[in-house]
Amino acid sequence: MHSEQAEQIADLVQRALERDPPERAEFLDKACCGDAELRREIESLLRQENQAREFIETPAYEHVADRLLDEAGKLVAGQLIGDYKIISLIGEGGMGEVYLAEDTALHRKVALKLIKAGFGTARFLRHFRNEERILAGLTHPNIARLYGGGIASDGTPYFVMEYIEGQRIDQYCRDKIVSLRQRLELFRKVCAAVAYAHQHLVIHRDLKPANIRVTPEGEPKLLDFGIAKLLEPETTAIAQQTVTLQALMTPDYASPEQVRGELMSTASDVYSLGVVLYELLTGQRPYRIKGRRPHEIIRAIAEHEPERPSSRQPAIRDQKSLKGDLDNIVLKALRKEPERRYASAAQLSEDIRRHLEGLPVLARKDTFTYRASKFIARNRVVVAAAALLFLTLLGGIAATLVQSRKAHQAKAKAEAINQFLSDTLNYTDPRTTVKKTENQIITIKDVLDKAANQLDKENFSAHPEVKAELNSILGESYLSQGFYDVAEKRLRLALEGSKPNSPAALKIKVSLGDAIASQGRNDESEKLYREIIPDLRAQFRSRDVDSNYLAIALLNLGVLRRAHGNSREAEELLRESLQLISDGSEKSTSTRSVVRGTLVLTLMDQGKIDEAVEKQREAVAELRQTSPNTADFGYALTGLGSFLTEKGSFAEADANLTEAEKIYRRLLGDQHMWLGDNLRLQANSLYKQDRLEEAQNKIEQTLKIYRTNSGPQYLNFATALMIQGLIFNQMGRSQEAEQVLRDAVRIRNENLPKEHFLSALARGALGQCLTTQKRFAEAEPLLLESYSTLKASQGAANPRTQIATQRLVALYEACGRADKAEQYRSELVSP
Amino acid sequence: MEKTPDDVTELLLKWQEGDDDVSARLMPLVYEELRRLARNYLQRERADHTLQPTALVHEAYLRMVDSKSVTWKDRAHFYGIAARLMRRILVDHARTHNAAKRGGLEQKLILEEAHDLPAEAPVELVALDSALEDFARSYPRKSEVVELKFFGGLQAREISEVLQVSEKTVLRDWNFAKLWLCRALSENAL
Repeated sequence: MHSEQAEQIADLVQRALERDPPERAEFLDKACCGDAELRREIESLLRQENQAREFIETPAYEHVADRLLDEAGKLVAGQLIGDYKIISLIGEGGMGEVYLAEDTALHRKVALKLIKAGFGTARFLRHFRNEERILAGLTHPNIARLYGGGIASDGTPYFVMEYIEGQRIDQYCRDKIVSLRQRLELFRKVCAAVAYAHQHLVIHRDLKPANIRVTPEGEPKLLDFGIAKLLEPETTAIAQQTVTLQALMTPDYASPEQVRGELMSTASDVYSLGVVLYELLTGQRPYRIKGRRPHEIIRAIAEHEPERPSSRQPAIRDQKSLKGDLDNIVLKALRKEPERRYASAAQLSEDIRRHLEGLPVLARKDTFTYRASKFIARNRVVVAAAALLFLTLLGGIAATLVQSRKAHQAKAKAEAINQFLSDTLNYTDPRTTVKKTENQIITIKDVLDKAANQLDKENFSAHPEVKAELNSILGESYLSQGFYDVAEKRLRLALEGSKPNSPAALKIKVSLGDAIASQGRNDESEKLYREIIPDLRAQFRSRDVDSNYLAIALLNLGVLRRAHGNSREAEELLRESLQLISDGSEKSTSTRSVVRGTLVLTLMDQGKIDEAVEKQREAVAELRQTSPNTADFGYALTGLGSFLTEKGSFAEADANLTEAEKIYRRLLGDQHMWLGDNLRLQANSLYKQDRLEEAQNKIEQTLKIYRTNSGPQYLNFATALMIQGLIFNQMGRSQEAEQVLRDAVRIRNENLPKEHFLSALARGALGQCLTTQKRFAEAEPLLLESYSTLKASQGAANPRTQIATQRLVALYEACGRADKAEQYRSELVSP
Repeated sequence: MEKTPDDVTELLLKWQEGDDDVSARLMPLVYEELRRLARNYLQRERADHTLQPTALVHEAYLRMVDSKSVTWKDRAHFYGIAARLMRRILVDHARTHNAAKRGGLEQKLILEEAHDLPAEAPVELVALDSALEDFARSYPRKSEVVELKFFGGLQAREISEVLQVSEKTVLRDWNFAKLWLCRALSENAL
């Protein structure tokens, strides 16, 4: 085509487009002058008008964005995510991909689960940290461990889990032709694992054959415990629709309350277990659904009654009829109403055991329980089926308590109490449960509040010890979750119901002291510990309380003494505590590291640097072995780095600090306060080495993190300002230095008592700056006051006092008062 | 992944001088960077699902090119280059992945059928690209408008600055090009 002709066509089409369609024919008649071919061409283009309206209006990029994203998410073998080397992709789910990876630090295989875009990193992480502790605490032979999690360099959050080499439970049963009895026994192990998690207040929420693997040894392992919940707040807030869609894609194992978007509970897990059991027995799903469309499946789950397993084609040939017990058991687990199902996974498992042993099963008695609970509902009494069960259990508990203190009975009691908690958690009638506003999840606090409410309503006049015990458990739980005021209330109630000076009462007081101190009432807490420690020592010797309680009491009193400024007394208490916790159980390991960490700080306070470094090295070495991929390890490294700085071993200090920095950035992201603290300590070390530019850079990063997360009330904020001021001063930027240091002093004065050593240090730094500016008259009172405060509280040999002394020497030298300079120089330990 | 700005800058300069071999070496670098940025963007802005290709290209450019040693004659040149890059990247990507992904896409459509499908049917980028090539033979400037708007994500006003024509001309060009390309693609499909 000639360009002239092309231009003519374009021109005429454009002009025709500017006219209303009815006028176009007339316009073209005139314009084409009988050129039929030209006119055909133009009309053919104009015919596209409607179709072309929306055509390519959206930029090309958006068409492929999703695909690019999908593809960008895939990792390749050999790629490193943190310390984990990708081996291969082993699965893809709604949340993201799962990779087999090698932990290069511990040389073991792990499963690494990447969380797809859409879960905002910062918020996700905050939530993750809260729950991680609980999930990582699930140690059960049939539950795959959650080792931890982190943030990849591109911002993608990930979990690291125990890698299970195994087959899906349904495939395993099909391929290995497991007998009915074997299937039921395998399934009971699954129930036991679920029950264990429920006792730890963790709901799975996504139980299905794909999440239940059987190892070559025939042991079932549950994957992804609690992960679904971990992600939920993000999903409801951000990507509601996407996730709804994801949830719809495999709803077969979801409970009615789940597909209706209602609150989930342990009963939802019981339901999912029922579906899994149904499938293991029949090889089929409970509902015959014509279509596979999400809304059809949802309707079936929410409304249709499942067929009796015995009416379906059996999955196993050698099985006796499923009629009777097994039908009843499966259907009881699959009830639409959560409160009509088994009260717990343990109960479901127990019923299967009874069936296997030919005993009558609970499932038959269902109608009675149901009628009873309906009666209660009619009478508008707010109790649940779980409460009924609880009341029946009471007799057993009381008898146990009265009879004796034998170990196995104590264990039975503990189990009964745990049962109460998990039953309370199980209690999910939407009309009476803790109803939160839409899109909110039930937190552990909600569950505890509910249990507490219910406990207050029960009548325990015959057995106050049981109520005390339950109150004490609730108090401990609140305490561990950081709800100190409610914890205190519950612990005081527990104390009222316990015999004075009994071992139980002493244990409660240990926690009570913690709750009190955590609310800032240090003197009151200290008084309490001073009272109970002699009794604890006596009872520990007579073996009535175990060493942990005494150790924790000593630790807490030690912390309080140190806060009071008496590090020497704190040291003695902590040494005694450390000696008590010598066994290697997991629980005492974490207590030990806290005790040792605190002891190290008291050693530092007193200038016993060498011993502090030595103790801290032990801690680092231990953690490097046991948990190198944790923020705690980073914390220990940071501590060691800071002590080495004090000692003047700068190269080693910097190595430890930067190793910790890397761990923090990987696990905690770039905004965490711990990272801020680490950078501050690096700045301090660099300042001492006179590497001022680098120090300046680090301290600016520190202050940025502090400002973003907290502000002046954070204890180390003023410390960071002090370091920044000293760096400025050393750089010769004395005006800026003075300004920053005056800020630091002001913040200390606003937040701490004048005689606190931190306040004294800030005034000393300002004094140093004024000395540099030759404003000796202003510097002298500040430096003298800083010196005497520090000397009084820390002793003359303390490194902080030494710095203050050094500053005085420098002042007197600068203003030419040699005698004074000499007097203070004589107090320096190493000139 | 470690590419210094120097590499890219040098390659861009050569490319600009007409050395077409360079683009083969340049593409993967810029592509990687764009992909990375795209991922970050999507992660951050998933909620409202806004993605600004211009911003993306601009950011990639700033990161990869040492602007001090490259003296772009004007803004126009930069956007021209960016849009061309985007076109190459996106079309290449579509070409290599279409076949493999088709099965997955169909499945996705079935799963989503209970929900609203996007009002606009997906564009077959490879076909569009070759149609645009044909179009450019008769209408070089108009095809540039398409490149800048569809691939580069530019607004009419920006395009008018780049091509030194009025905004009205840009819109007329655009409307005509859409008719032409739309017809070319529907003929193709028959």
